[in-house]
Amino acid sequence: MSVENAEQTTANLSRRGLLKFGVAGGSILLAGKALGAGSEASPVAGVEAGSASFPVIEHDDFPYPVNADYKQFNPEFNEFIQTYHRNMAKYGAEEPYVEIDRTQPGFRPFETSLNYAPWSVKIRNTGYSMYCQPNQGEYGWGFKPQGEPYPFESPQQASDVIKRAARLYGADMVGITRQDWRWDFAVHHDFITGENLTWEDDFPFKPKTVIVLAFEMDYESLSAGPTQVSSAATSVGYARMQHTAGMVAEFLRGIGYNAVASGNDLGLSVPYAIAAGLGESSRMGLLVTYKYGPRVRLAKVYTDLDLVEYDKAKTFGVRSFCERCQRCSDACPSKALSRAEKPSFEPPEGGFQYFHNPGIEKWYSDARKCREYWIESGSDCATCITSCPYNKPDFWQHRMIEKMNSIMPGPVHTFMREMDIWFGFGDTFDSKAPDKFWSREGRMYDGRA
Amino acid sequence: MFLGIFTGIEVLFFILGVLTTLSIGGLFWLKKSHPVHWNSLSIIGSGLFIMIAAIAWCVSSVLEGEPQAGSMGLMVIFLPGLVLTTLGGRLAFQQIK
Repeated sequence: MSVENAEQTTANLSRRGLLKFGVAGGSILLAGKALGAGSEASPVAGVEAGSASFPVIEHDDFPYPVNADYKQFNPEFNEFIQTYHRNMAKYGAEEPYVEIDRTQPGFRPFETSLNYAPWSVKIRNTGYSMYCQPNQGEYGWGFKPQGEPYPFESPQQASDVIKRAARLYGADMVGITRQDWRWDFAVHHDFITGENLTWEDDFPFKPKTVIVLAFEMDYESLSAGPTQVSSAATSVGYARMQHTAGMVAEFLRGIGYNAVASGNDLGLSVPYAIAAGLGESSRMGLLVTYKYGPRVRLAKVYTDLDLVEYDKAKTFGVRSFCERCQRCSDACPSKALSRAEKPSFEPPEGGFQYFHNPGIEKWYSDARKCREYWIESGSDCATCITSCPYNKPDFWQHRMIEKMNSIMPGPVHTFMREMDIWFGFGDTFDSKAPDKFWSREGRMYDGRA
Repeated sequence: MFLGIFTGIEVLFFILGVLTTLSIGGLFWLKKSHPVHWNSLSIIGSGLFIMIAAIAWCVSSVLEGEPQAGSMGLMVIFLPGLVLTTLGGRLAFQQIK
């Protein structure tokens, strides 16, 4: 599996290949310019509003079509919970024992501990909320607001104050959107007790607003994927989520509003993040943000504060790029990601249907294949995130390329995908990457560099 | 990086500023002191601009820990710039003769 993948991601840098590459690149750029005269292929075509700064386009409504018969997702069908029950029945453990070579880079004892430490902190504070378990620790429902609600001078002031506080508390990105029943879970399922809690009878208030927080995951750590080093980027994200979301919720309660912090529980984080203007949907099903690409984790805060300036959903050409790129589905070691060119309203026939909530136009992935590979590889994989061309360090040249990319027509996206491979970005199964992560070259830990 | 005061990217953009100033100054000097046409000057200018952009790309790639991207930048961006500058220079040289 790893060898096959390595073959996919390693560019053949022969002289003949380079010449072909240059000629093809020049031709595609010229063709792209010519095609650019027509707007059909442009990712920025056909939008309902366009007041945001170039190349981001704002939308008044949710930017992707949703069927009228769309139903809320029941978290009981979440693949984490399904795998948990299957494995408990079959092996008597959450995960079966898998023999992993603990001497290979990425799986050495200190690297395993690197990943497990944040998970331990996270589970001590918010239980198994990553499996949608509700009402846990900082994500608990029993905290009461203090005093009368503070009357903000304007919705804009309320929004500014919440966002600044969230940034101070550690969020890398913040967006605010209206509560939307479509993205809330149908019930709150506790997979350990089997109990189902409801919005009407058990949740402490009627939420009106959802604040979505995004947390950057470390680029170098994810570059080592799929290993325990890359998994640590995920676990650190979960540990940061609970503290920041917990503080934002407590901040709102301190000024008199009801608020409940949330990780993966309460509702679907990705559509809420899209609605809050933090990013776009992608082929891999994850949020792709403008600044960090798919390299983020998401948390939410539900509140009854509603006099707030809501953010608009934003698009910047990701879906158009995903149609042609397919680097994530090529790199996916379990072949769990869709290879269909266009997104659809239904998951593909014959796939596992239960963990999907059909009715939204998107790319559907096979969550069971994905989860089983996590167990097989002894990691949280994240190969799709690592290989995504939007996953880049925060440097000026990538921001420039992304701006150019957003206005380029479709054929150029294929060229950009190839360029990304040739330039060495998005390599997965790189056995040298864990040591690069640990290397002290170019790093000074006393603050001098 | 530089005396422990500036980061690599700050030093890079300072040097890019110096290179840009020298390039523009050189082109003005060429135009003023020799009978060179605008067409050859614009070819040299384009080549110099591409080479400066390539230096920015390459150094940034190394600084962000992606040396392969830097090497590819040298081949894909710097070389065409060098070819353009050489062509423009030869054209200018013929006009001077």
